[in-house]
Parts: sequence; C-alpha cells; structure tokens
Amino acid sequence: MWKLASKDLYLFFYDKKALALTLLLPIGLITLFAFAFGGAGGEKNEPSPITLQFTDEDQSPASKALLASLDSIPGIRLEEVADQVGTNQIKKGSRIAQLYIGNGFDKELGTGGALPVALRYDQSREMEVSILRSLIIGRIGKMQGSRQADTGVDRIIAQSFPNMPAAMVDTIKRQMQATGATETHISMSSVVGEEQSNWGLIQAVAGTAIMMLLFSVSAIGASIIEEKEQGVLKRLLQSPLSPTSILSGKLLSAGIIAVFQLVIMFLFAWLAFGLDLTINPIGTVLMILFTAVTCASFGVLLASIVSSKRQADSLGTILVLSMSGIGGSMIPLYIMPAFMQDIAVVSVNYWSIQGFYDIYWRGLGLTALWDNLLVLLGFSVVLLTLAFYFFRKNILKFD
Amino acid sequence: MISGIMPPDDGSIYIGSDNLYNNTSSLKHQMGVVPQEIALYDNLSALQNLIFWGGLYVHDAQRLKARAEALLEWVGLSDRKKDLVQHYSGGMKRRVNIAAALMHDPQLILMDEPTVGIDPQSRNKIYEMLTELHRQGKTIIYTTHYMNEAEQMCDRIGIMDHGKLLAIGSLDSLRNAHAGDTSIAIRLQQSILPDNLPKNMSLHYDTDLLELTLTSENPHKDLGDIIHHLHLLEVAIDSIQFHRADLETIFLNLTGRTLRD
Repeated sequence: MWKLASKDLYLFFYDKKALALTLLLPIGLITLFAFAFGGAGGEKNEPSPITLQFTDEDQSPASKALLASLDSIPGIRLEEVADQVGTNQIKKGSRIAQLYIGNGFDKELGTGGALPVALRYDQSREMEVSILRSLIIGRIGKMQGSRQADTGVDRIIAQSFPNMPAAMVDTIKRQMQATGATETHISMSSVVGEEQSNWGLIQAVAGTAIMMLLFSVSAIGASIIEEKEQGVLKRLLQSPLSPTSILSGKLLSAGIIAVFQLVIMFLFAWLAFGLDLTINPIGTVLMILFTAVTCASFGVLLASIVSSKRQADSLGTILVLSMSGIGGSMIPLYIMPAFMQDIAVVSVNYWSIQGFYDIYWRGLGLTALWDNLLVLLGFSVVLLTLAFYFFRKNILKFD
Repeated sequence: MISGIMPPDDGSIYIGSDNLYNNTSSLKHQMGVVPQEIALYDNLSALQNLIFWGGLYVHDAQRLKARAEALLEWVGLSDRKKDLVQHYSGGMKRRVNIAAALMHDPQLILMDEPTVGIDPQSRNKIYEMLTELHRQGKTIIYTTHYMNEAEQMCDRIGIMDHGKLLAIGSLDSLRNAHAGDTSIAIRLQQSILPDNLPKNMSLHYDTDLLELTLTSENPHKDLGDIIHHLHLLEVAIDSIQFHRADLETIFLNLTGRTLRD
C-alpha cells in the first residue's frame, strides 16, 4: 500500500511546474475572492464612491444646499451634467444614476406639494440605487421639515394659538426640523432595461457562457500538447504543413467550436428564459464572433506556453477562473471594490459581458459596441502573436 | 532531421539532386514517414485516419478514399476499417501507422522501428509489406535495433552510434571490413589426441562432440593446412561448417559492449 502511495506521491511532486500550478490554483482563487468580496486590503480597502450625476435647473439656495449636503457624504461623488447627457451616460452603462432638480424645487419645499425632483437610474445597479435613494430622500425630507417648520408652524400657530409662548413655538419647530417631513416623494425612473430582458438573466447567460467557453477552448488548446506527447504533432510537422498552418488549424477549430457553443447557449437562454435575441441581431452575431475568436486565441496561447498536459490543465483552470472572477463572470462587477473594477478591463470576460449588456440590457445600437469589439480584436492580436511566438519556441522543440 | 523538421547542425541532406532545406515543402511530398510512435488519432477509424493523413498531401477526395481502401486491403485490415483505432491491437495499429505514410505514394519512405512491440504474425506481415514496397522500387530508410531485420531486408546497412555513422555498406562489405576472424567447425569421424594437433593455429577441440573449431584471419589457407594435417594422421572428416559473423557481431565489434543509454 505504501509503495503505491509513495509512487503516486513521487509522480505528483515530479513535475515541479505542474505542482506549483496545482497549489497556485486554490491560492489564486482565495486571493481573488478575498479582493472581490472586500475581505482583503484592511483599512485601505474602502468601498468605491458612488458617482451621482446631477442636473440643477432650479439653481436655488435650497437646491445648492441639497447638493452640498449630498456632497458631504464620503461614499458619494457628485458630477454635474446636462440633463440629456446624464441620461445617456446611464444608458451607456458608464454611470449609475442622475439626480434631476427641476425649477420650483425651492418654492415647493415648504408647501408640502410634489417636488420637481427625479432620480433616474440603471435598474441593474439596484443596490447602489437603493443607497442613493434613501440618502436623497433623507436629505430632502430634513430640508422639507425645516422649511415647513419655519413657514407652516408660524402661520398655523398665529391663526389657531395666538397666545402660545414663544419658547413653546421654538420647541415645536425644533422637533419638526429634527423629524423632517412625514412623507417625501421624489420621482424614480429607470432609464435602462425597463423594456429589455431581465438583468440577472443577461449576467447569468453572458457571464457563464464566456467562462465555460474559456474552459472549452483551453481543452482544445491543450490537445496540442497531447498530440505532441503522442507523436502526432511531429507527424504533422513531417507533412507539408507549416507550423503556422498547424496552429492556425487549431485556432480555426477552437473558433468554430466557440461560436457553436455560444450560439447554443444564447439559443437556450432564448428558449428557456425568454432572452430577446431580436434586440440587436447584428450586434449579437458580432459579439459572438469576436468573443469566440478572442477565447480561441487564448486557448492556443495557453497550449503554446506549457510543456505538459497537467500543466495545461492547471494553468488553464487558474487563468480561466481568474479572468472570470476579475471580469465579472462569477460575481457582478458592481459589488466588487473599486480597484477590482478598475483591473477588470484586463479580462476578456469583462469586454464580452459588457458588450452583451450593451445589447440586451441597455438596448444600444451597433455603434456603441465598437469599443468592445475593438478591444476584443486587440486582445486576439496580442494573444495570437504570443501564441505563434511561443509555439515556435516551445512546442517545436523535439529531442 | 531527414524528415525535415529539424535543420542540420552541419552538412546537407539531398534527396535526388535537391537539397532538402532549400526545397522542404516540395520534397516532403516525395517522402513518407513512419514514426516510431503510433501517431494516429485513436478516436478516428482506420479509414478516417488514412484519409486525414493522406489529405495533407492529396486533395482529391475520391482518390484519397480509393487509396485508403486499397492500402487497408493491403495491410489486411479492410474488414476492420471502420473500427476506431483505439480498439486495435498493437500490431494492427502499426500496420495502419505504415499505411498512413504511404497514402500519397511516396518514393522515399522513412521507417523508424516499425516493428517494435508487436506479435510475430504482425511482424511477418510488415516484412512482407516492406518486401513488396522494395519490389515496387521504393527507397526505404529503415531504423531498427533488431539486427536480423537489417540483415534480412536491407541492401545497404549503416551502423550508427552516439549520433555518428560508424560504417555503411552491404552486409558482405561490412563483414569483410568489420567481422573479425572467421570461425570454421570441423566435425571428425573419430577422436584424435589433442597433442597431435598443430600448434601454430588457433584451434579448439571438443572431445565430446569430436569437433575442431578453427578461428582464423585467413580461413582458406588455414583450412587447407588443417585438412592436410588430418589426412596425414588418417583422421576422416565428417563435415566442415563456416560460421560467418552476423550483423549483431559486427555491430558489437564496432560499437563495443558497454551499455547504452
């Protein structure tokens, strides 16, 4: 029994690179999730401030006081925008919400009437929007209470209780100011996704599809190593095929399988969950194609930088899970700390998922997708350049 | 190196009058390589494998299929052609491995130990195939550690050790150059006293078998002398047998007996 165990242990520890990768996998994942969930970094790891756009058409002392009050909250960063610009930013996904303060805010504050205030937002950022809403309502409520105390109480007491002592009137006012208005309403409107598909469905489909796709293409890429170990690659090289053709062939098969897999996943989401594929069919096709090519490039690069099947498996898992974690496949980006959101851009997943969000959640047209498509293309070029370089350097070496 | 995947450190490789490294792609079409490994796709059938490997050289689908069918018939696997290669025995895989290299009908065939680890029946079948290819006028470069294979099948034999070509030529020329002394066994009809044997020759006398073994650099002269000597002693000879050095002996003479890595 020990002989068997010692043989297995010897083999396990023999391939040092594979061993290191095997250990790196859980360490990497622990680190990734610790950062993603804000469990690492100590005091430095503060939550990212929520950017609140505002449009102040009232330009009154009251509206300015409201904005100053919101600006004093550490977790909020204010950003002034023109009305339509702010709405468009939310639609594009670059901002979460916009506070619109219309003309007459100052005037209506003390009357108890409907306030010309609206919070426009992206429904997919539910958590942040809830925080903003409660903060804004809280601040306005206090101002309403104060204004009503100043104006309304004096008027009512003068009419009904003309003999009330001044000290008692002051106490009533102070209590009203502290309590705020009994009810404060602001208009709430989602400017993204109201008529589109369910946000969670898009996150699930795009996030999972791309992560699983990366696993698939990693396996296809690793088949190069398997072919080398079996002698098949050498036989291919002995044929008139050039090394470039061999790697291109792998890229092509990985790309076709990737397209097939993505198409099946989106069709499933359509049939099973009603994802509306008709929103932007050309955009969908382009995103699927560019995502497939980028993922396939990743697969062939992976195969070019390892020297054994075990290394390919371990490194593939580490890279795929890391990219998926960073890029928002596993955890929606908005719940991650600010610096994690910043580094998400290095992940293929991020650009693909955002592209699919643009199509299905934000309902954007083709022009809005160019950034995502170009970045994915750039990824492909870099990954393929490295893949061809390492393929010649590592894989074409024979004893 | 000869198969074109590694450049030579020094020297050149010519196929006909063409330098391999100036014209690699074109010359690869004239070359079929049978690797030592079973370099086939296990999850494809024999027929699919042959069509795939042939398709790297020939693009006519009908021609490819016909050629694959013919080769499978030739290697004795036509009745199993649709079975996955993973279900084949070692010998069957070896035969498909060879057939895959012949799909484009190459003039030059490089074979790297094609009979390693297989049963005698499959080995004999492969020998038959090689003989047939030789008869068709193909040039075969055959690498083997089995000396009897080289001895039986090759017109020219090269002996390589540690990457150096130590000797090359026909079996006879290798024998003449590297076989060392010839051994001759003379079986006698009656016993003889060892003291009566000539002292100036390398002779060994087996009293049980009544056999004299003569080792000589000059066998014909020494054999004449010993026959004359036995005649004078009136000892009759039952038989004379020449033992010519085999290729294994020549190989060991050239490479020494130290173990190889």
